[in-house]
Formats: sequence, structure tokens, C-alpha cells
Amino acid sequence: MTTKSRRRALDNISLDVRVAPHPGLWLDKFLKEQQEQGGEGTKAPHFQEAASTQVSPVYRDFFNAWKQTLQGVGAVTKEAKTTGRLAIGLGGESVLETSITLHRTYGVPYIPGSALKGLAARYARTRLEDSEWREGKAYKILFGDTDEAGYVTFFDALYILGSAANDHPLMMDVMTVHHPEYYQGKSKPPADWDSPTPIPFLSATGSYLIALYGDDKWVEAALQILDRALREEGIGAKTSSGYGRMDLDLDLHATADGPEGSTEVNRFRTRLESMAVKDVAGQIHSVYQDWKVLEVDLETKLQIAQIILDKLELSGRAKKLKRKKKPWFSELLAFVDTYSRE
Amino acid sequence: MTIQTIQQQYAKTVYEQVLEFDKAHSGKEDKARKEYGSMAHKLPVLVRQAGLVQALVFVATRGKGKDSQKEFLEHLAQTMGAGSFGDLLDQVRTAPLVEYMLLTRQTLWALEWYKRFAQSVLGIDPTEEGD
Amino acid sequence: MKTKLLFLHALSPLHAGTGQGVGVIDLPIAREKGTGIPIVPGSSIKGVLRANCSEDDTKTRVFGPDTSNASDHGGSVQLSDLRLLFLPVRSLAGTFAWVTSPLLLRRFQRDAVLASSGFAAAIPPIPREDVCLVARRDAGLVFKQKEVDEVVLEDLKLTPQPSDDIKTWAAVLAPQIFGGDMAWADLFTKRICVVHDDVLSFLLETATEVTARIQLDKDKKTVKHGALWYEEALPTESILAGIMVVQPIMANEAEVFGIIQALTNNPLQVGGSVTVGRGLCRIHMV
Repeated sequence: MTTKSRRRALDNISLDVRVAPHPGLWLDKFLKEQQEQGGEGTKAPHFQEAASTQVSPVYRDFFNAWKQTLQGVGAVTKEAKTTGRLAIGLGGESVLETSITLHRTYGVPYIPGSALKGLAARYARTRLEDSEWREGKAYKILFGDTDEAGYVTFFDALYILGSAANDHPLMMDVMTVHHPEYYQGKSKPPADWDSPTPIPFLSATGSYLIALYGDDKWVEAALQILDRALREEGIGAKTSSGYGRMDLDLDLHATADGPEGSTEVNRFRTRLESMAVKDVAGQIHSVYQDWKVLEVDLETKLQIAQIILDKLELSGRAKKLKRKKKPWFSELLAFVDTYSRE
Repeated sequence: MTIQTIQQQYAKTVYEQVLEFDKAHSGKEDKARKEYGSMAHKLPVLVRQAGLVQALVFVATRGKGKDSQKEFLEHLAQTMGAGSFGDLLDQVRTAPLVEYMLLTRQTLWALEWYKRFAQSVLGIDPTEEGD
Repeated sequence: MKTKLLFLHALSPLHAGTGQGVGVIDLPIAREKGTGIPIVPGSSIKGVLRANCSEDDTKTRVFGPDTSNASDHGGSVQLSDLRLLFLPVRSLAGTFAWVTSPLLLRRFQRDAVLASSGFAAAIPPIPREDVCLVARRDAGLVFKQKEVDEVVLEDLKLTPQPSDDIKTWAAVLAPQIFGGDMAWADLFTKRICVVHDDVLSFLLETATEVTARIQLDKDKKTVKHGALWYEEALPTESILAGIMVVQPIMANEAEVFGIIQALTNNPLQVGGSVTVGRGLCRIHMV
């Protein structure tokens, strides 16, 4: 049995993609009819209609203004490219039983700043070795706690204009859920997902503009964490089915050429990231020695030197070394200074 | 009636309904209380998200075998002065603009009380599941 | 004493809250008593400006002393609450509309008169609830269904009527809100929409942005018990306005306006939840 589900006054309205309709409004309020549990018949075409809309022309002006605004506040921006698909806000309250987070005003998909912050915080707590990050001061500075806000602002990551094929970032998708416990523990698992019928939903593709603001070194640390979390864990729902993975375009990665070089970079990065601040004084010199004898291309060597310097800066050790004019420290500085100009 | 007296009227009616429901299901039927309570928490947001007609049709078509959810909807209809939930649905769907806006706002006011009493009388939190 | 208009243009969702809510939404936005018009408290704007003022001496002279020395003297600048003037509402044509009503325009006009930048544009009455006024017939919001012009905002269907008065309003307000940006002025003219006061108050109650926020359990990816809440915000593109009054107590008018001008050159962050990017906005002094 089906029941008409629009206001009668809206019964005859059809979607006109030429006039830049808001896809979120269409999804939320213009489903023609609803069926008893298990009947998914009318939903798939409804999703399809929303997915057929192109990014609104007004978003063009907004997105350009948005980038300027971020620059104006001094935020650091990086592009994150979806490697598969994103399912953000899938469990949101909706008469369609699946949902997707769309920009309230412009209707484009985006990743809420709160979701990025949540992902980074959870990753730091559960996956980083260093106790500073798991629960210590560094964690608190970056993410804050109930008493104090964090020092880094995570802005919403908005869809980057033109980054999806034909500028259609919304994709029709289908899942077949046999085991409702899949979603157990999530806030609101829809009641009838244990039905064997395929369930339609919308996912998103394209690239998103990650924007963080705060003290340089903390922003850098947050980016490193986000980079790993987005690659390894993914963001949003259905991450265990491979959704939500993203490549963050950090300069370090972009310039690392060849698998060998980047492996070395990653080895050092992992080693330093897992080093507690209190251990830096005692252990950093051996890292330097390893760097010194490392036989790799200049670019890789340069990157690692920078990573070591960043760690010293981040741990507050750099100042002291500078004052004491430690020769190995000066060497690192000089190395970076000399070669990074080329 | 002024807005305030309508809201007071809703508070009174809803309180009595929830109290009665609580008494009828005290102690034994945890499932029933959760069904009723989770509807109270879920419906207002759904109304905001999807509009009153979509939201009401949604809960009407999902109620199979859930007697307490049905009871909730009949309670709501009663509070809104409709003969049955089916009547309320018809009224909302066919209402012209001004009436539709009024019905939406009044429903949200009433739902606010269901949400509050679900928490305080039935002891059901927003994150608890009714399914 | 000198008065100027202050416009706020939200570039991300803006949550100026009231603390704990009692209604359907756990964290509602602040609203004016009686009318329900969303506001950003003047004190909150002043606080942000103050915090961004890097020079201590200037800070004290313009914004007044720290609360510990509050008895010394007042600040030279006072801000009214900023009131919503245009609410962006989702539309089936043109993506969204900048919606206002005669009530909001009247309230604004009163402020504009105080700031002696009042202008003679009339506020046309709206004949019926299901009619809305637009600046021009080919406004981006208008689309044809079966040869009839319609505007559909959320789930409300309205009949558009072009109005020269609204065109004048758009022409005068655009440069004040968006600076000299012609592209935005054009977008604005195509999207301005004046609805009946009753329609507006419905939209104010039902068409703000509501997001579910959850606190995940520390190590698991599950929701903590009771840690789901709904937060309300004014959507991106909301436009608010209010006034700023300068009394030359410790600094003269020119100096104060110069400093406020400099402080509002760059975007600012206002309201709550700033660490997740809320409240990024541009403030224009006119």
C-alpha cells in the first residue's frame, strides 16, 4: 500500500534540473509517496532525481569567496580526494531511511568540521603510540576537552568545484544489508534494514577542501593525523565496506618521488610521531645519526630533515638547541636552508 | 486562544496521556515504553527535516506490529483535536498554506511536551532505541 | 555621539546560543523575546572585536577596560544586538532565497534612521500569505509549472509578484552588505524574496539549520549513552544587521571607526562551536 506524502498543493510539482533546484530540499520534502515497510519502490527514482542535479551555479561564486575567506583568516587548506565513495550522514533522520549530509544553503555534499575533528581525535587516541597523543597535553591542545576548546579549528570541508565527473558529486548507490547488527551501536539504526531488499542511498564523490586554522605546528600535526586517519580508517559510514577513504594532498606526499623514497620518509615519520615529548631530548640525536648516514635522493633526505626539525619545534626542544648552538642541529638547519631553495 | 494558553493546554493533555500510558505499562513492558518514548524523541526532528506531511506519513507506514507507536500517534491526534490519526493526516495533507503552517507549529509545540515527558515520566533518553 | 549600521554576513553556519534549551532542539539559537527573530548579542560581537584588537592601550580605550577594572570608565563603543534581516531558505529554483518580511524590513529601517543612513524605499504590504514579492520577473527563484509562475520555498508554494520597491531595496542593500562586489549584488537581486510576516515566522521556527551532534564513546565508534544532541544554527548566507554607537569617551569617533574598520577587514568568527568552523562571517560597517 502506498500513501501520498506531499502536501496536496505540491502534488503536481516535478523537478526541473535547469532551474538549479536545491537537491537537499527535493530529497527531504518532495518524495511523492511512501510505502509500507519493505517497499522501496518509490525511493530509488527519488534518489536518482536528486543525483541528477548539477552543482548549483550560485555555488561557483560562493566557493571562490569561501577560499578567499579562508585565506583571509589564515587557515591552511588542503585538498582531500575521495578514492572510492563517501557516505556522510547516512544515519541521519529522514523519511528515506538513509540520508546524506548536504550543505543547507547550497545543496552540495560536504564533510562537517565536527566529523573531521572527531575522526582525528579518535585516531590520535586509539592509533598513535605516543601517550602525549593518546591522552596527554598534545591531545588536549589539539582537540580540547569539556573545559577548554581545542586550539585548532576544523572548518567544514566543502565540495571542490568541478572535482566530480561532470560536476555531479551525488551518486546513486545500493546496499544489501543482511545483518542489521552491522549498524549496532550507531545512534539510530533504521528499523527495517533487516529486510533482504536492496536499500538505495546516495553517496558522494569528488574532492573536498579541508581547512584548518590555528598555530602552524598544531595545524601541521592535525593534518598529519588526518592524512593517516582518512587513508587508513576513512570518514563517515560504511568504512568497513571501503567507503570514506580519502587522499589528503599534503605537500610532503606530493613531492615524494618513488616508492623507496616515500617509504623512508614514512619510516622516519612514524618513528618520530610515536616518540613522546619527554623522550625527544634523549632519543633525537640517534634519529639524526640515522638520517646522516641515510643514502637516498636529496628530496627524501630533505623531507626527513624537515620532519626531524618539525618534531624538535613541536616538542619545544628547538629553542634550547638553537641557544646552545648544537653543531648537529645547526647542520640540519643549514641542510634544509641550502637545499629547499632549489 | 493565545499561544501560551494553547501550549499550556497541550502540556496538560500530553502529561495526562503519558502518565496513563506509564501506568498501563509500568514495570513489565519495557519494549512498549521504548517504542512510545523513541517516537516522542524522533518525530519532532523528522518534522523539522521532512515537513509535517512526509513525517506523519512516514511514521504511519512504519508502525506495523508496533502497538505503542500507534498509541502514540493516536494520542498526538487527540491532542491536536483530530478524531483519529488518519483524520489528522488527511487534514494536514490537504490544508491550505495558512492552516498548514499553523498545524505544523502546533504539532511541534505538542511534540515538545511528548519529548519532555518521555524523558521525565517514562525515563526514555534520546539515544535509546525503540526497535 | 555617532551611530553606524553594522551588517553581518554568515559564511558558515552561525550558532549564537542561549545555553541549554528546553524544546525540541537541545541547543537553540538566541532569539528576540516576543518576535522570535534570531539575534546575535551585541556583547558577543564586541567580545570578538575586542579579542582581535592586538594593542592593549587601544583595546581599553575603544572597548573599555577588562572586567576587573570595569569601574574606571566605559568603552567608547556600544553595539546593539544584531537582528536577522535575511534568512536563506532552500528553493526549488535558484537553490536558495534570501527571505525577509515587512516586519524585518521595518525593524531594520528604524536602525537605519538612527544611523542616519535611512532611505526612502517603501515597504510594500504583502496582499496575502501565499504571495511573495521579488525584485524582478526573471528572478532566479521563479519557475514555471504548467505556465504559471511559482516560488517554492521548503514545502510552501507561493505566487511571486515583481515589485519595484523590492528592486530598490536590493539595489541599496547589496553594496552595504557585500561591499562593492557586483557579482554578489546580482545574486542578491535575483534571490531577494519578501514574504508575509506569518510565513516568515513559520520559516524562522522551522527552516533554520538543525544538526545532530554526537559524542562518540572514547575508543569505540559508538554513541555514548545520552550523548546525542541537536544544535540549531542560522544557515550560511544569513544576513543580520544592527547598530553601533560611538561615544567619544576615551577615543574620538574617527579613531574608533578607523579601528573597527580595520578589525572587520578580515573575516571573523562569532558565536559558539567555533572549533568546528561555525560562525565564520564578514562584518560590514556602513
